[in-house]
Amino acid sequence: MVEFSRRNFLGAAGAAAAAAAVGATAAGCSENAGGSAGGDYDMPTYQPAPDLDVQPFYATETEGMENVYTDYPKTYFKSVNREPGSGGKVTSFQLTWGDPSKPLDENPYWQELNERLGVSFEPQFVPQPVFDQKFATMLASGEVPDLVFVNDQSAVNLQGIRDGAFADLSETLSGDNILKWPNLAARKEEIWAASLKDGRIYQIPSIVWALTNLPVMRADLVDQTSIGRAPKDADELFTMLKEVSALGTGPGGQKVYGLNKYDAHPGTASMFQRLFKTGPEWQHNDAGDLVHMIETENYKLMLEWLARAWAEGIFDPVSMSPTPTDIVSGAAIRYDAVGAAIGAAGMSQWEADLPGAKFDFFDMPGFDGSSQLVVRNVPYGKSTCVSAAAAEDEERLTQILNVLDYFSAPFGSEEALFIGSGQEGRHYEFDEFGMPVTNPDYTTELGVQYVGVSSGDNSYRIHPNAAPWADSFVTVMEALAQNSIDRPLTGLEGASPTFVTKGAQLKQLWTDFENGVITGRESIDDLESFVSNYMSQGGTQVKDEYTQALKDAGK
Amino acid sequence: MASLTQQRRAGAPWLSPPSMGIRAVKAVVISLIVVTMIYPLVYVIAMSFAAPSQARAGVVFPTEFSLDAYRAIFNGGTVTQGLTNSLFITVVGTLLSLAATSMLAWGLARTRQVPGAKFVLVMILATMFFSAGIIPNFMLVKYLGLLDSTWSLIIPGLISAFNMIVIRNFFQGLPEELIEAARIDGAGEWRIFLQIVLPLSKPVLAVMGLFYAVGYWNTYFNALLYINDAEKWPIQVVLQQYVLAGVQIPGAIVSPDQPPPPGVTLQMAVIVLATLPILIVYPFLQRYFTSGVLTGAIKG
Amino acid sequence: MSVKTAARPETRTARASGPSAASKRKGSLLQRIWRERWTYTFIVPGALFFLVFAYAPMLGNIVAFQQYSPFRGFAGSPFVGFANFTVLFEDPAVLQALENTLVIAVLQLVFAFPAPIALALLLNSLLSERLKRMVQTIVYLPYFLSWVIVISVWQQVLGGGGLVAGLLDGWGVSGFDAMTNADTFKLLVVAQNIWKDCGWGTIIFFAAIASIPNDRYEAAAIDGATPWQRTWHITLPALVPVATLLLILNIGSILTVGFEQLLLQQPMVGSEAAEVLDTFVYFRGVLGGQWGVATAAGLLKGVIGTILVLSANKIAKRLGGEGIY
Repeated sequence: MVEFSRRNFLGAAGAAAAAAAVGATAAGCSENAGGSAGGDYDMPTYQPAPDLDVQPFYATETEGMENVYTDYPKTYFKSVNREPGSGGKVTSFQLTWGDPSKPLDENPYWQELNERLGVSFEPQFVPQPVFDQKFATMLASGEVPDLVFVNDQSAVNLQGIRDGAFADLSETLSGDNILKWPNLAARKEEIWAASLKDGRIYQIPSIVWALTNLPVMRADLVDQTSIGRAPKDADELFTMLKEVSALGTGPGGQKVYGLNKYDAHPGTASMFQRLFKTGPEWQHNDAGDLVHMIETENYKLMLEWLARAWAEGIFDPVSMSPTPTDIVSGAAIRYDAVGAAIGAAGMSQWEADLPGAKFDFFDMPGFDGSSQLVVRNVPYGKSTCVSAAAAEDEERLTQILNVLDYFSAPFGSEEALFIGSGQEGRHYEFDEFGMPVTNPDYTTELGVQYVGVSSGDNSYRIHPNAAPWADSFVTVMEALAQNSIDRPLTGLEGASPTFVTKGAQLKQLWTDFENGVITGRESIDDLESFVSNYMSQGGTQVKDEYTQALKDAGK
Repeated sequence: MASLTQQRRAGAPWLSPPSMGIRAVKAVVISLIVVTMIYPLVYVIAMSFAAPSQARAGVVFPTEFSLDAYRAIFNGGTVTQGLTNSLFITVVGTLLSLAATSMLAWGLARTRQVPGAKFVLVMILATMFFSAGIIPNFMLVKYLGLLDSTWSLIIPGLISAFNMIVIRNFFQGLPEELIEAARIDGAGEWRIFLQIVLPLSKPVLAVMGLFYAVGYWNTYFNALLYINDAEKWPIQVVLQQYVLAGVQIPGAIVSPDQPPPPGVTLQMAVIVLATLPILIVYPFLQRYFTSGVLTGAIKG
Repeated sequence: MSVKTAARPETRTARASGPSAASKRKGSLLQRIWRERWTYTFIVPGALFFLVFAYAPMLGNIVAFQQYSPFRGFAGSPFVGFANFTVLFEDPAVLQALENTLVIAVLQLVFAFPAPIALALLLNSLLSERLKRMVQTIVYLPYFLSWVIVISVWQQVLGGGGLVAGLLDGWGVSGFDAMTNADTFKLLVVAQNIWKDCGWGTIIFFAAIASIPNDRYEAAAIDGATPWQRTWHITLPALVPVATLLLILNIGSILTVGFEQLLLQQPMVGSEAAEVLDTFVYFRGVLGGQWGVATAAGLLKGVIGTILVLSANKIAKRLGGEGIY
């Protein structure tokens, strides 16, 4: 695997020598392509999903921000006009959580799904805790299911792609070819571009939000401070947090702190990285060289601030506990998932659970009085690959992609409603807002659903319960997006073999030191020696490999 | 045996109660041990019944209770199936394991007389320190055609080297004269094994049975690897899935639906459900290893 | 065997020279095999089991010498000689991990190993059978809690915001936090182990105690032995064989210390204190997809474990005890 990925990323000289590892080989530049052995291809054409029949609460063009809806669609469109398949079976290897699905013969949902697909859909359910292990045994057994759920951030998964377990779909989906599958086509080019492997299309990526987390404040606590809800810089924020810790207890006798959780990026740490404008993990310095975040001055400032915050009691002492249930205190500022905050059990539920508490979204300043700096996520999430063996037969490949196309139906389509919620009357009912509400008695039947290939519209959809916060949400999110940047390595994460094999260990090393400095176990003065240690344990190799990859990509 | 217990408790003449001082010290030490051991369990059980609002707000100890977590778990109907599967694996597995393990242990008990036995013993011992890894084990199960079969959770772990060695150790401690006498009377190895060795070894068999049973009951990882058919999942896998359902899956579509009960209560309910059957079985086995059983065996 | 040594020295002699009948008729190897033909009906099925289910998959350890990729398989992955072992030896993190592993293992042997014996003796000394059973049932409960729960409970008691910290705070001692103290972390690990497994560990010793004929206590008591003397001269010797056995086996697995327990707590105290061989292998092998390196580490551990057990066994025998074989 190593020699394969180490080979010239984008097909410069010498690629042929290593190309034997996999059928496909170096492709051209991601924009318009054209490799040798794999055949030329164009980026798949983007065909947006049909518009919804409701107006967005807030529409935006800002990069990183999505439209915000508070209303649910009234009618659902049909996204595919295709005859169902003509029998046969399509197997899958899919992540599953929650209730295991009811077997086919007692599962009306599954039966209808098969009918709609026109094939017998036979998923293999892979529980999340052992996903990587099962992925490896699946590859080892040589029996790769037709559709495979892939997390290309995992070394094992990446290995499978690199070793040729999955089909090179570049030509099949090239240009207008993809229009045969309208739902697969409802992906912007940037998403395809970011998910290429060695310049080729091996995976059909799902769409994700560029911004998934935002700060949420306890307005009831923050209002009691001398600073109030809008600190202008890191110092004011510090004062505000410290004053909240000094309150001791809040409504309901709950213990309160300025902050009550600290976990490494992409956890709470990201919030402080935004505050101190540390930028992405790998970034270019003024001289144009690639450097790690830990080498920057801003990172040092951030650590100092955090260590001071810890020493002065801003943090709940259990903030670094690995078990979230330990954290029972309230905090002035939390870092929450967007989906949780604006969902049914979000803000309104939190307030209901703790009478007296008031929650609101919090607009983070920049540490020096300017604005924060936000790093956007990789533009795609988990992906789906097609078995290389199954793809050899073109007819079969078409059938498999037809099934995937169905699963990929965009939000607002009749198909997506069925996949996500099942049959009306049995699995769900519409409530007064026109939202499908699940009937818990039959949710186990839905366990068979294949998710993770979502396409089309990716708006933020605020649950009616959270509607009172819609304005505040828009303000804070828009500010995040306007101050957001892309990471230079987008789409190239896997280009460093050292990162793939040692990434977890390096990450651990980094987290250790960071947590150590904050809690006072380590000294900030050792930052320099830590950086050199990090670099010698593999950081330098990663840097060199990324530098090369960026050069090859012409960035 | 029951009468022996009786006799002991009633204060056999040779058992005089210790002095007050010693009794007081013992009482304090044992109370301390009991409190430290029992606190987390009370906590776990209480949290499993906590009302969702309290669990979400994160109280130190719940004061409002609900059955939501248990309701959520039992709603699917898969729990009953899982329990049945686990019961089968545990009962059949434990019986087969005990039979296979004690047989082998008896065969290897007399390494001095039986040529080759010592070699076999050392080879088995070595397996305790080497592991084959996930992939080769998976391939073996696959070649044997055991994938997706309940037997894949029983057969590969039929004999534990550790348990075999412990049983062998106890066999070696059995009164030699009894066995020798039977041998001189012309009893075959099998008759000796079945009629003398096994009945005398109840305490160790009870303990090893418990070890095996707990092992089979807790089957989790292998089941995840070898069993794809959710119908055949043992209870631990089913229960863990519910815990997963309570946590947000990164990258998953955010469901606008009703929230599941908070992860904490589910997790705690799962622990309670997963441990309960062992708590029930234990006292039945316990009697085999709390009182002497050999008395009279030789005289009689 | 020492169970008998205590009471019936004569059987020990008989045993040491083998059953008298057998030793007199020592013949050729074939004759001996023929004589024991029925014994082999006990051995062969079990031996076959280990051959198939332990030794056959162990062939998979070949990947320690390969740059293994699951999809390419054993046949398709290139051989790299000892390169995977070199990776292990050259990584400074391995040395740190080895040191931590050994320190924790030794602490375990010193503190955690004898704990169940002490507890078993204490419980056994209880006169009330009912109380004994009740306490027994309670002390084995923690064994069934997962490490996630155990650690979170410990956090609540000994952590920075925990029970003890609160009490000490009240007395003016602030900043107590046993859970994030890297210096005492290894002791904490051992304490957690004792708490979790000690009760369960007594079970096997109870079985040994149960095998002691009551008449031996009776005889001793009639001879005027005090409870202490009875424990010392009858109960304790009866535990020696099984304790020796467990000790030898423990020594063999000295390089394996609680993986999950340490992985979970590593973020709190840092890897310098909490990285052990198994967590290292996890980060490099499992998360990093380096099957070869992970397998090489496992293989090395196995070799070391086997050597240690064989030596421990020899020492045990030389000291006059009975080894495992």
